[in-house]
Amino acid sequence: MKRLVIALGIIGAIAAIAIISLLMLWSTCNAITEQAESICKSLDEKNIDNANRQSQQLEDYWEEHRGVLSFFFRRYQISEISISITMVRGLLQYNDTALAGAFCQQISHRINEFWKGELPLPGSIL
Amino acid sequence: MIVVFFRTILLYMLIIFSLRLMGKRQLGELQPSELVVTILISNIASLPIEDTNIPLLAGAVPILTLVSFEIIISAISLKNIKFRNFISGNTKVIIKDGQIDQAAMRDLRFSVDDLMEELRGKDVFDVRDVQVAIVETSGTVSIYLKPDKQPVTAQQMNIKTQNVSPPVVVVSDGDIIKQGLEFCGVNRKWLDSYLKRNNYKLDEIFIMTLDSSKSAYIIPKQKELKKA
Repeated sequence: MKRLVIALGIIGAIAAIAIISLLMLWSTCNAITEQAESICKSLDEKNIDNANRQSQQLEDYWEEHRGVLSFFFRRYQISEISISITMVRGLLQYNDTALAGAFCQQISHRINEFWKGELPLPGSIL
Repeated sequence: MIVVFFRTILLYMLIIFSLRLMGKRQLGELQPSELVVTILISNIASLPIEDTNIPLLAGAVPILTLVSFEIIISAISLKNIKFRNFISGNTKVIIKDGQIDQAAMRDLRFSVDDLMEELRGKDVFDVRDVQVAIVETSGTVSIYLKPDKQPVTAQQMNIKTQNVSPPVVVVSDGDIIKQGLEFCGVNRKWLDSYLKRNNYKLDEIFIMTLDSSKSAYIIPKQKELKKA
């Protein structure tokens, strides 16, 4: 009976960790997508200073959250997003706005793929 | 490298915990579901050790999930006989009155060699000596010999015997084994007085066994080893 209670407790804890990790990913994905889109918007408006500032904010935000995400999710996906975010910042410093814009879209795409891949949908499970 | 080292230690501890949680049955003869879990655990545990891209939690979650489900399945099996039969299968009689049930053997895909090996493993060399042989759900064969082929018992010989529990270890390398004392129905006080009466000191004893009739056997520590 004691073992059964422990087993049910473990299942409960795993379910809780899974839900918490999904919620964390969801909020991080939303924030990253939003920030990447605003960088794209600033680039479209040729507002490079604003895009620079926003890319710095995006990098800081990602640095703050990626450590926690790596507890739960595969690290190669996280490091791919890290590379894209660093690229945007670097390209903006060298005034390559076209490529920076492309990388911004890549960030949105990658983070969305990451989120979709972690959702417990038939496509991910099967 | 150091990351792999720590991951290995953590997963080792997790697997030990998991196997302990599954219980002693796991370490003996495996039921089909237990075999599946054991194979899966050994495979899953190796992945996060080798690949640092995989979070440790991604290795721990399937291990704990498998073990938990195994316990839940066992608990349901204990309550529901139909479910138990579905998960573990049924026992099957393959020899009755010295006659092999060939249909049952074919059904189990049990070859003559398998059967003879199992019989020989139980010191039976003639099929005719077997009254009943049953293939258990774990795949082992249990054998009941014909009465005239069974070893003679004290009861058959009308020899009076006493019911004495087998000796258990009560002191191991100078340490008291509490369960052993409880098994023999004695306590620490009894042990101390026994040792005093027989001029022994606790830390000088390598092994002390005791049975339920309070008959003790003591092996003292070797002097040279004690000094070392």
